[in-house]
Amino acid sequence: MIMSIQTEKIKELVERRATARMGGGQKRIDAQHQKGKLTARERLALLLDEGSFEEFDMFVQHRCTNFGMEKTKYDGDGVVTGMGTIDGRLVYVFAQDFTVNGGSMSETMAQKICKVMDMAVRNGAPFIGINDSGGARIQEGICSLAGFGEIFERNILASGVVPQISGIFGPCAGGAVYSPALTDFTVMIKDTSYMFLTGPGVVKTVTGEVVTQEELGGAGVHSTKSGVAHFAADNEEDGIRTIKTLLSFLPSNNREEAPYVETADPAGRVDDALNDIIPDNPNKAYDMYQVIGSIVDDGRFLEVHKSWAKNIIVGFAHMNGRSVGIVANQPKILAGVLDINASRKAARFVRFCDAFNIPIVTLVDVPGFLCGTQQEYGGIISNGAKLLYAYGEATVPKVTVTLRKSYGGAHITMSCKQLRGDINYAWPSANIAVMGAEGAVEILYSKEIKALEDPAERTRVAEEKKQEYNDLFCNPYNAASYGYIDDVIEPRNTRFRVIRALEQLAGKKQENPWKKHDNLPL
Amino acid sequence: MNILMLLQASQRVAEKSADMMVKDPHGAIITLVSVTVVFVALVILYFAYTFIGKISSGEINWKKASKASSRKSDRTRPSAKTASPAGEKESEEIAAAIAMALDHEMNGEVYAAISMALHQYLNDTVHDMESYIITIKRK
Repeated sequence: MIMSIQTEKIKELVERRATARMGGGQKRIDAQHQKGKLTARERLALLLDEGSFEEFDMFVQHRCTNFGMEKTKYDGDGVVTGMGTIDGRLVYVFAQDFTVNGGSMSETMAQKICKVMDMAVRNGAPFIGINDSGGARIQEGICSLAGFGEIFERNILASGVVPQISGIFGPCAGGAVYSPALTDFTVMIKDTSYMFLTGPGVVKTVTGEVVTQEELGGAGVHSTKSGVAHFAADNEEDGIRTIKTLLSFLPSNNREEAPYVETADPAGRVDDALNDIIPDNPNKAYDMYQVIGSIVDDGRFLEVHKSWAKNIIVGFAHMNGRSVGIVANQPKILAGVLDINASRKAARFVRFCDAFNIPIVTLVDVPGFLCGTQQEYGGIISNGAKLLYAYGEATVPKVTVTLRKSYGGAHITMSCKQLRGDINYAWPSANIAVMGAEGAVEILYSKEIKALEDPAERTRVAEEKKQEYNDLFCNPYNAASYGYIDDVIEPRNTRFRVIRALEQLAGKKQENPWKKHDNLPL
Repeated sequence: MNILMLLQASQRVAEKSADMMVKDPHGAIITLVSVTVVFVALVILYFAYTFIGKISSGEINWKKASKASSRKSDRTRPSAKTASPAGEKESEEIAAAIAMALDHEMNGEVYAAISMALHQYLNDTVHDMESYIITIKRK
C-alpha cells in the first residue's frame, strides 16, 4: 500500500513519539518496576487529570560528545516536562526519568526544566517536580552544574510567586538536593527515596562513619530529624495523593486566593467537649489535635512536618470552606515549649501562608522557650526570632486563640496583639503572664520566704503569694483589660468565633514599608 | 351421574341469575355485597399481619407478659410480710421491688435519655450563647 508523503510524515511522528515514551527502553523500565518504583510517565499519569498532560520538548537530545556520549542519545533526555491539570487547575510539571542515564542532569535536561518553570511563573500556576536522579551528568562537566544553577535561580525567583512542590521518588544526591530544598514542600517516599549531599561511600572515606543510605538520607531521617522533608509517604501512590491533597489547600499563585471548598459542616457548630478539654491541673497535658479536629471543617487537617518538632503542630485545613494555616503548640510533647526546631518549623510555615494569602489561625498553649546550654549553643535566640519575625511581618489575616499558658517571650512570639494579630481570643482558662506563678513567686519573694524559719510557714506564705499572683495575672481578664485580648470566649464556641473573625478579615489589605528585601535572622 | 348434577346446578344458577336480574336490574346489590366482602377481608388481613409483625419483631413477649400480669395481681393483693404496720406506707422492700420491676421494664436507653435531658437542661444555664449565624456576605 502506497502512503502519501504527509501520511508517512505522520507515521514517523507517531513512531518517534512511541520511542520517546519508552525512555531508556523496556529493560530499564522493568528494572525500575522491580525496585518498586514507577516510571516518570506513570507518575505523571497518576498525578494529573486523565488526558490533561501535554508534553513539551519530547524530542530534545543532549549535545554531549565526551566519553562516547554521542552513542547514547534518547529523545527527551532523561526528563519528562509539560503541563496538565490537577482537579481542573493548571500545573506545570517535570519528572526525571531514571531509565535514561540514571536520570542524571544534563545541560539540555536543565533547559527543559527551566522552560516549564518559566511558564509556571509567567502563567501563575503551581510547579511540581518529581526527582529521581543520580545527580549531575559527570560526562558534561561544568555544563551540568550550570544547569543546576539555572534551576536553582528559577526556584529562588519563583519562591513566593507560585507554589513549588518537590517529590523525591528516588535518589537525589549532591547539588541536586538544593532544588527541593529551595521549594516550598518536599514529599519523600519511605524506603525508596534518599537525599544527601554525599553518599555513604564518601562519608566513610571522609569521616570514617559507616551509615546506610536510609540512615543518612532516607525519608525517615528527613521527616523526623532534619526536617528537610515535609511529608513522608508510604509509597509512590501515597506520595502522589499527598501532593494532590496539599495542592487543594493552596492558591495557584501569590495574587490569588486558595480555592473555596463547599462544606456541609455548619459554621455555628459547637463542641461541648472543648469546655472540658483543659485539665484542672495546669501541668497536665491534653491533645491539641482534638482541638484542631473540633474546630476545622469536617475534622480534616493536613499536617505538615508531622513527625518533626512535634511540640508544635502546623498544617492546612478549611474553615467554613476557606483554606487556613493552623499553628498550634502541642502540650503533649515537651509541654508545648518552643525550641529551635519548633521555631524553624513554624516560622517557615507562617511565611509560606503569608506569601500565598492563606490566613493563619494560631492556637496557643506555650509555657515559654526551651532553656539550657544545648538550645543556647544551637542558637535558640536567632531561631526563635525567626518565628517572631515571621508573625510580625505577616500581613494575612491572623486569628489567635490562647487556650491555656502563654508566658513571656513565647507569648509575644505566638502572634500576640502587638505583632499585628488581627483578632486575639482567649479561653477562660488562659494564663497570660510573664511566667507561671511558681517561678514568679520564687523570684519576687525568695528572700522573704527563705527568711522564715518554720517550713510550714514557708509553704503557707509561698502558697499565699502564688494565689495572689494567680488571681492577678493567671487569667485572660488582665490582658483583656488592656485590650491585648479582644474577647474571652467559651471554648465550645471557638469554631464559630474563629470563622466569623476570618470572614470579617477576608477583605484585609495591609502592606509593609517598601524595602529591597527583609533581613530575616537566618 | 356427575354430568347430570352439573347440568342441574348450572340450570339453578341460571334461574337465580334471571331472578336477580329482575330484582336488581342495575347490579347495585351485587356491587355493594362484593365491595363489603373485599373491604372486610382487607381489614382482617390488616389485623392479622400487624399481629404477625409484632410477634416477629419481638414486641410481644409471651413469657414477660404472663409474668407481668401475675406480678400485677400480686401487687394488688395486700401481704402481711410487706405491708407497713399502719397499712398506708409502703415498706423499703416494696420500694426496692418496684424499683427492680421498673428497672426490669425500662431499659438503659430510657435512663440515658433522662440523663441527657437533665445534663442539657443544667448545662444550658451556664453557656455563653452566641448567634451562631455568619451574617457577613461573601464578596
